[in-house]
Amino acid sequence: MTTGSFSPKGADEVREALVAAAARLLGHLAPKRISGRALAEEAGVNYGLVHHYFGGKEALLREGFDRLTESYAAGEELDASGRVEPFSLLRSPEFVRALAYASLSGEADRTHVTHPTLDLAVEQTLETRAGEDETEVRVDVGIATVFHLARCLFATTMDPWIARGGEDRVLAKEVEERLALILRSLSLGLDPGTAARGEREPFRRSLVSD
Amino acid sequence: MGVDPDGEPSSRTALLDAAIRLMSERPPSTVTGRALAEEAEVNYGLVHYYFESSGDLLRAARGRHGSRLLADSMVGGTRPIPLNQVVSDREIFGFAAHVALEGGYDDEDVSHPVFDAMLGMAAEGDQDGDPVHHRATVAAIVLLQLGWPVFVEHNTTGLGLDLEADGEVIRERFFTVLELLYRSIGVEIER
Repeated sequence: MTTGSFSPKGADEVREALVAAAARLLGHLAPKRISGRALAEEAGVNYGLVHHYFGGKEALLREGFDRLTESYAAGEELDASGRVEPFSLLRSPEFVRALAYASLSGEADRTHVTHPTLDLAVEQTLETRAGEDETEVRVDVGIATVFHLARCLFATTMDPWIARGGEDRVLAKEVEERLALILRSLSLGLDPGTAARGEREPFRRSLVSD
Repeated sequence: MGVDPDGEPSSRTALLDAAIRLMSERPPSTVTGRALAEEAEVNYGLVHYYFESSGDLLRAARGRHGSRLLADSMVGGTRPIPLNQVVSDREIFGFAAHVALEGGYDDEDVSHPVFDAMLGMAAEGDQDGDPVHHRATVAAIVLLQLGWPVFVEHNTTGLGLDLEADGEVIRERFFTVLELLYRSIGVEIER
């Protein structure tokens, strides 16, 4: 994982190399297992610079998390209909892994970073579900996001099974579309069982005001 | 050394159960042979006697994990694991997550006895259902249950909710979602 013989020079380069190193390591280790020395080595800089620029590894790891979140948000791509693709996190495995490592080692509080994508999801869903209880909407978005993150974290476990040992690509594609429909139903607060049957339940904006 | 009822030498089984416990707490690659022997209270030499490599051990541990879930929790694969148990049992979700983080089940001829048993329940409970519905529902249930304990704190905070104050509402809605998914395949589930 090291960057080779290239050695960063100057404040900007060194800071950048360290933050990038933190983001990479967070995708492979629990935060508490990442030492200041490992960060320096991964960045190809002197150990003392971790303290010089960040005051210690804690602040550096925080910036690493922010970097992962930003790169995920920046990588969000719109599909043909102008919407974000359903399981967009599949493109950002490092971000998902970093969340999982931190949580499993009891350090979930480290992942309390600004979250532009989640903010956007809430904003859009609140708009669609205008007039509904705001806490309920947030809870639904949270459950949908757990589903989304889990779909990505457990892809290596789940995908071969979904495709019956990798054999059945047609079935895999149909199941994937069904999972996307279930994801939609979760954030809209609809019945996920209906979605699982393949029915695209219409969402009525006027549930409350009718 | 003794032999346990299913014909496995008991030291081997003890090592596998120890592996599951340790790998529930940390990634498989960080579990050493010595830690394993100590946890299982067996002689260190037996680790290498039973398992040629760490990959070999991991495969065997996964197999044991699956059959244990079937035998203990799914009552022979005819009843699903109660909802509360899956999301609070570290040996279920912690093990699954660590295995996934280190490459998952990407080797050949890997079986998923628990997923298959759930699929069997769906075929039983919802006889007219289509295979896509059943497979997607089982996948969704498993993903939600395994993902919940791993991601709930991050999400709750990220959404501006309070795990203390809103915890009950969140949990209630989550369990309702799982019940609805189970119901669509004709299975009533205990919380």
